[in-house]
Amino acid sequence: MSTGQIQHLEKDLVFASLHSRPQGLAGAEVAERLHEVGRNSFEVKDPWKIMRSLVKQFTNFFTILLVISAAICFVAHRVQPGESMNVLGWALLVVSLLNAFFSFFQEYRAERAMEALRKFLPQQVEVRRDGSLTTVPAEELVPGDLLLLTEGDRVPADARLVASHELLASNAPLTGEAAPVRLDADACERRLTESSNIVFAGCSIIRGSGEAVVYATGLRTEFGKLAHLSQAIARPASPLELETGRMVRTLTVIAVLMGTSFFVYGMASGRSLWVNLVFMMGIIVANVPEGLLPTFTLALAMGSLRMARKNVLVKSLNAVEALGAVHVICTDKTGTLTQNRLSITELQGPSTAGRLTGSEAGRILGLARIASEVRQTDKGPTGDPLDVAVHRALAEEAGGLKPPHGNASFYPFDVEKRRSAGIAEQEGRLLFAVKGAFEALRPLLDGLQAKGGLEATDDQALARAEEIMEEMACRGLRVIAVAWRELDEEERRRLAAGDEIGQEELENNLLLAGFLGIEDPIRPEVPEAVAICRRAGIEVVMVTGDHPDTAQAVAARSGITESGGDAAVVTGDLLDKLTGDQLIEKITSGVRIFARTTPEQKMKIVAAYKRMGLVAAMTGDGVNDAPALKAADVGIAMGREGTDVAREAAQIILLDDNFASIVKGIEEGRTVFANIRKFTNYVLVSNGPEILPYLLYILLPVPLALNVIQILSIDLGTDIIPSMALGQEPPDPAEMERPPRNREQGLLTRELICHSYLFLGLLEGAWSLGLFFYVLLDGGWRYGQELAGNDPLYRSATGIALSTILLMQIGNLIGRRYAQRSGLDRGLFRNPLLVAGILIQIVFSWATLYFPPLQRVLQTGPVPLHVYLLAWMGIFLIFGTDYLRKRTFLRPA
Amino acid sequence: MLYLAYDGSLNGDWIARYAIRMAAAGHERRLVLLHAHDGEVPAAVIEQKAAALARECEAAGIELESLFLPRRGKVAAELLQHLPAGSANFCVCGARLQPRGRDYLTATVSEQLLRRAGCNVVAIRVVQPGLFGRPANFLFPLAGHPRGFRTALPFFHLFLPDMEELHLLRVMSVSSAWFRYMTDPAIKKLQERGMVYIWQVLEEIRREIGDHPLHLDGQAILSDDWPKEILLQASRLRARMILLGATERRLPARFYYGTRMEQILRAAPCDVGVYRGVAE
Repeated sequence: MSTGQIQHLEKDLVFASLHSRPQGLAGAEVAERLHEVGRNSFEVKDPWKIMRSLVKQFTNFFTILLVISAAICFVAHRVQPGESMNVLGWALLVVSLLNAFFSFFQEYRAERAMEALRKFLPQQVEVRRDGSLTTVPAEELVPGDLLLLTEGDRVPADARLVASHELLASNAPLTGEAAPVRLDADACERRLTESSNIVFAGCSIIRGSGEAVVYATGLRTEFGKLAHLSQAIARPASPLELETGRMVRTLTVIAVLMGTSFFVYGMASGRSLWVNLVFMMGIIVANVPEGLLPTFTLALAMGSLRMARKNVLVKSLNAVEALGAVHVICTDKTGTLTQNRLSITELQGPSTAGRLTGSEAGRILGLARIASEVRQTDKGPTGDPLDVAVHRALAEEAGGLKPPHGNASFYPFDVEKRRSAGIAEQEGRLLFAVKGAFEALRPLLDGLQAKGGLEATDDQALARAEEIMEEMACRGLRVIAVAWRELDEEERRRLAAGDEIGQEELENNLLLAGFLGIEDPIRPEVPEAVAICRRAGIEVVMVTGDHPDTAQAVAARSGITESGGDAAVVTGDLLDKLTGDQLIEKITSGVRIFARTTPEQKMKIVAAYKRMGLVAAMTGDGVNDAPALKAADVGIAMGREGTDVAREAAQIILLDDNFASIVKGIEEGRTVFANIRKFTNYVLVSNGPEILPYLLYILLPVPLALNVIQILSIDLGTDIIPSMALGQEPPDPAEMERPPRNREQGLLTRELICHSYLFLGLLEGAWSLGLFFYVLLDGGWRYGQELAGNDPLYRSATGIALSTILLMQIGNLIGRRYAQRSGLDRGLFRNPLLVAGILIQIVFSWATLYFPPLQRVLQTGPVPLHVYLLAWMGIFLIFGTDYLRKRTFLRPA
Repeated sequence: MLYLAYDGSLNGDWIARYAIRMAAAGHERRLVLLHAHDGEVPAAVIEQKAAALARECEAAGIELESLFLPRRGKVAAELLQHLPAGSANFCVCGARLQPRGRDYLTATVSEQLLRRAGCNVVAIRVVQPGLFGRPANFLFPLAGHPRGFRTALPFFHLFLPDMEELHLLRVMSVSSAWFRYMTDPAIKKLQERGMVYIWQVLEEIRREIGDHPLHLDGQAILSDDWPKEILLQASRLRARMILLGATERRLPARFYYGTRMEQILRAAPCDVGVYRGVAE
């Protein structure tokens, strides 16, 4: 380590090093420094951010296409009014605007990290300038300013202490460590972030007072870096976003290419500009599944509602599906895998291995209770979690000593001493008891409380005690030693007289009573959830600040690693030293536990998994977890224990902080994607019969079987509810038996395109066009004969074409429920939306032909009943043919 | 020989700390303070500050020679006259905000020195005076120059004694329109290309440092906004200094690059050094 950093300096050198002085800076100096380094602000200023985000939503392929189509419609309406092209224009414009604004609103809502971060900084601070105390806005602090800190203050900038009095600070926002740290002004040889003479921005003063010289402000502070990352990290696009982007691009390119090439062909073959324009519009509109993206949104929104019922609150809709795509979950231990409730699971004596039970157990718990402080409230006992655990265990232990009614004296847990102590009367004797780390108690011991009585503390006896303690620790237990002694006459007299006796005075001649084995029990549902993850090909990785032994034990108990085996662990120290490539090597070699890590190291772990091409979910609760939560593909914050900053940075909030809920969310996410694929397939099938009439119209002297309004009535009308119904299909029981889908496997696969356009689409097109021509020919039309748009024969023919497509979509809808099975075997009535979708198709197919108001809008007319019944045959034709394909070419899973 | 272009400002004092550390890494352990008097800071103050610097140098075992140049023409021209050419010479100057400007380098004396001096020049923007010129953790963004690390090598040696971590970063720039629609294989391919370059440079550095204990790491990242990515990585890696190469390109590219460089200087979460090395 290099010397000469701010924490290494003796306190009297600090002022000179920062070109400051004990009287504080002069006004001119402050102005000069403010000019050099800027304001003490944690906000990343980007005035164009909102505008950029808005522009981005309007510059994607889909929106551009819809806007251009709308513009063409308006032009067409000007050229030839009366064809309702303006209505179509407005419809397209509204769809594009709704899509764009909805996406913008989603993105805007997710970027509110700064509001939560702001709460960690004070508005005004007290400084000494020009020799006098003054209160200034925190934003005007500069390096060299002398800060005055007192109890309850939030620290506004990173500063080096030059004076301190009993100073205790909480660095939880930076380190995630809840225990306060004792600070002083002396030189310190440790690393900056571990120094005992530095106060960090965003942290708070718990006790005492001090003076400190500011050496870093704004984004240059440790908290500032966190704030910078929390605001500036761009959330990675979710797998679904990427896939829909690619799908829209492909469909757009197909639509535009087809539209323009046939427009050129039409112009070359001598058709009028108007006819060609309508034709091009029709091709584009027929190719673009206008209703698909809004349906995506609806499916995700419904998925998010179902997730909320499973305690998984989704902030960003894309996270619904992203969660289903995860390959690896990096999870915290405490509170997520475990219950975050300390529980005493084992008691051992100091000299012989073996669990203590009955009165012996009651005795050691009674002594530990003396060194504990618990308050009784309406919600039950409260206090330090360890003290509460001792209290509970004692209450449950039959034959144990009764909890003392109140301690005569209590000495709270001291971070440096690593122990707490107390005095209480039990069974007529006044006892002094200490509980804490064995290493802390060992020098105070005078004997061991053996079964047969007292035993002197020679080296051998202590080594035996240490062996017992280590054996317990190896099993993942947190081990607390308990020691005691009876107060002598003099001490009792002083206590009775109201004298305060110092803890150090009493800490001598102690007898080691034994050890408490404490653990945070695993949540009962976690092992099963981890097993589900394994079957689903998802890696579970534990990232914890705890000791490697504890981490290994919890990982083994929860099934993350094999029990009994010595699982590989990467500690925070090692993680610091590893390069990105080396970390990937470690992960590839099977490391599933990261112990003694700091929250900021989570980003390194996330980056490694992302470099491996995996979709990574990361859990977190602290302020300093925010960057990792934002950098992960899926950031999951804890709803109960999490901070506001973590919740703002995450896309998903676990309402019960439970790992098992993540797994339920993954199942839901996978189901959502499977359903999206189903309705994409469903929607694209109707593109076939929509495109085919236009191709025939331009190539052959035949009337156009479908007009643009009719196409839109399918895409933005009748197909929406059935699509939503497919989006609501329940999870496939085999969903969590399959590995996560390959990232490179898109939504719009070649198989899906062929199946949609060239198989079912063609079938639907052929049957609907067959009936179209049947009606025409039956009505006396001859090949090559032109028909007016308001000719009743033409209106009947176009009506039956539309009606047939609508009915055939019913067969398509049922078939899409399963990739390999018929779709009827699931029971139609289990999905009410599906029934609604079918009813809508039936009613609309009838109304298209026989309901005058709709006839007027769609420019359709009636057909004889037997022709309508032929249209109904289409349902069985498409369903049966598709089922035959499934039976012939696909093996059931 | 190491030269410090000193303007007498507080920022100049902070940059002097860097110069002292760099001089301590040199064989000659000498530092020449060059001050072209421009009237902004009174001469008496300059002399006082120079004396304080001399004391700091003495404590560090460095010999300081102060040259106060009377103003005859432009400050940059005056300084350039006294900066000897050659790869063995170094000039340390500041990158500080102009009194009424928004830029740190554009149209400054330092920019003139970076462009026209015949020696190695590094312009430093100090935002963390508490580091005392010893940023142990460096972020070194690489533009993919075929000469690799060689242009940075002279400066690297000067910073090496205080260096504990060096992170190489190759930002593969992609246009915003294309970036949104890139496929996974295309992303991987570009990243791999960047990593190949990083590995080459890492190898070069390892050969250069021998047994010197240094944590070396590198990464290649795709981005449609490389200054933003550099700033982000600086915060993520807790870098104390970003070391950037000055452009050697033609005017239009320099104008664009300069604007982006200013973006980094303005929003840097740590100190920034902009260097230009001269060929041996």
